[in-house]
Amino acid sequence: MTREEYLQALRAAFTGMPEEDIEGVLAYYGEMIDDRMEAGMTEEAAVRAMEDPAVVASRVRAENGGEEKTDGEAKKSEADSRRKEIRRPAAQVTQLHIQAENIRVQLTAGESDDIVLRYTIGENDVFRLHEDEGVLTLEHQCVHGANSFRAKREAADGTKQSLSLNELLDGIGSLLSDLGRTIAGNGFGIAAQQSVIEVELPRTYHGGVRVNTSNARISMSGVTCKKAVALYTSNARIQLEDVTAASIGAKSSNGRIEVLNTYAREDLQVSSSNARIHADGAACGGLLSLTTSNGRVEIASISGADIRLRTSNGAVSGTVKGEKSEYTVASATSNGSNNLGAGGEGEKKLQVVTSNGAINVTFVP
Amino acid sequence: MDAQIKRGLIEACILKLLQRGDSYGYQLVRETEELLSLSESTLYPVLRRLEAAGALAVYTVEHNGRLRKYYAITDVGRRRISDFLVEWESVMRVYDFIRRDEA
Repeated sequence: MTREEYLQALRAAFTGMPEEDIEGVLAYYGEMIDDRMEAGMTEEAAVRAMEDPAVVASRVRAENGGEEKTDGEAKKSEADSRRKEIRRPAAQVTQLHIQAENIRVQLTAGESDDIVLRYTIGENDVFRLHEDEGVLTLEHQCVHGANSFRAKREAADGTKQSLSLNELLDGIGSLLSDLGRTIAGNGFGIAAQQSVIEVELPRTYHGGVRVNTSNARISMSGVTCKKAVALYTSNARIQLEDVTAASIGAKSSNGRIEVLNTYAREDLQVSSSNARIHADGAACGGLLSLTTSNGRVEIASISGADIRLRTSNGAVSGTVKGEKSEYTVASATSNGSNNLGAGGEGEKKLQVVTSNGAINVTFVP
Repeated sequence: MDAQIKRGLIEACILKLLQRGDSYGYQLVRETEELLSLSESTLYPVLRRLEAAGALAVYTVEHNGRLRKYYAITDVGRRRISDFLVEWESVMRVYDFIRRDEA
């Protein structure tokens, strides 16, 4: 077969493909034959070294198909498969627990009577969902490198048994195919992660919520819970806005906490060990405690039966709702001005302590 | 071998060859012969894909009275190589682990 005959056969095999694509294929194979001839092969030998036109066509078509899929739909469907949405009737869940590592948790009110969890599984994320007698728990773990398949394996099993060789191989298989996908995919590296767990609760939820993250922000807004709300993070900010609950606890060991228009029927306790606390319109029927060991405490129109504001290295300033006469006041600062003083015989208690800052608290109607 | 993994390996090999210098189709086939025994019809879509992804650039040079397409690696391509090496470090750790276990 001559070079021309081969290229014609190739053209025939690619019938139906866009002309531009066919030209590309023919130029490529023409060049391959030319280069072989230039390297010393006869025309016939050079053509013989080429694959059968039908084989070439089916491979290129398959690859093209694969390519379109990889770049278009497959990528989309892969992205879809990484996005999770879990929906449960809220009536069946008395407690919602979210335990996450470095992934933000955002709780809002939805329009339905369901609890909806939405998240995207990133390259290094492992999620586990447990449901046990009304307690719905979503656990998130961030894994790296060789630990990744083990954790994924455990996630699938829900156990932490040691792995048999077969399981290990399975794990490696899935790790390899993950890697293969990553490498073959357009990104070639780690895909951009949309690192947030979105939680939608009914506007009025009869249960309670507990969220723990180790390194990411927690926010909650617009929800009324009949039971307790507890939010803990070790290294990020917490925001509560328009939240009502039986009791509320928010604790960050290294981040700022904001509490806006939030009400607890019993206690509302907020503490940060290394940042400021801002409470505007925070109210509760019991203990309202705002404590930080290294930051300002800012308040506006807060109210409670027993208010305790404490910081060891910052000012306490702002307004408390009501008349001063409603309160029995105790206040102390070791290094700053203090407008509050002590005394009174009100039924409610107001205690303000800072060891290195001013106290400037006034009362508003 | 898993097709996706193979694809990733081939792409990385082609990019590595281009990192050493610009090259053309037949030369790439020859240079990967021992390592991958790449056929023309396997290489073609790989080149197309890498081009579409911006990992390589294509230019034409007149050679012995005809045109020859040359491929050159881009910054995107170079980044792919380093990403590949990082990704496969964890695979190699797993490989080492298994090998130890078998010994």
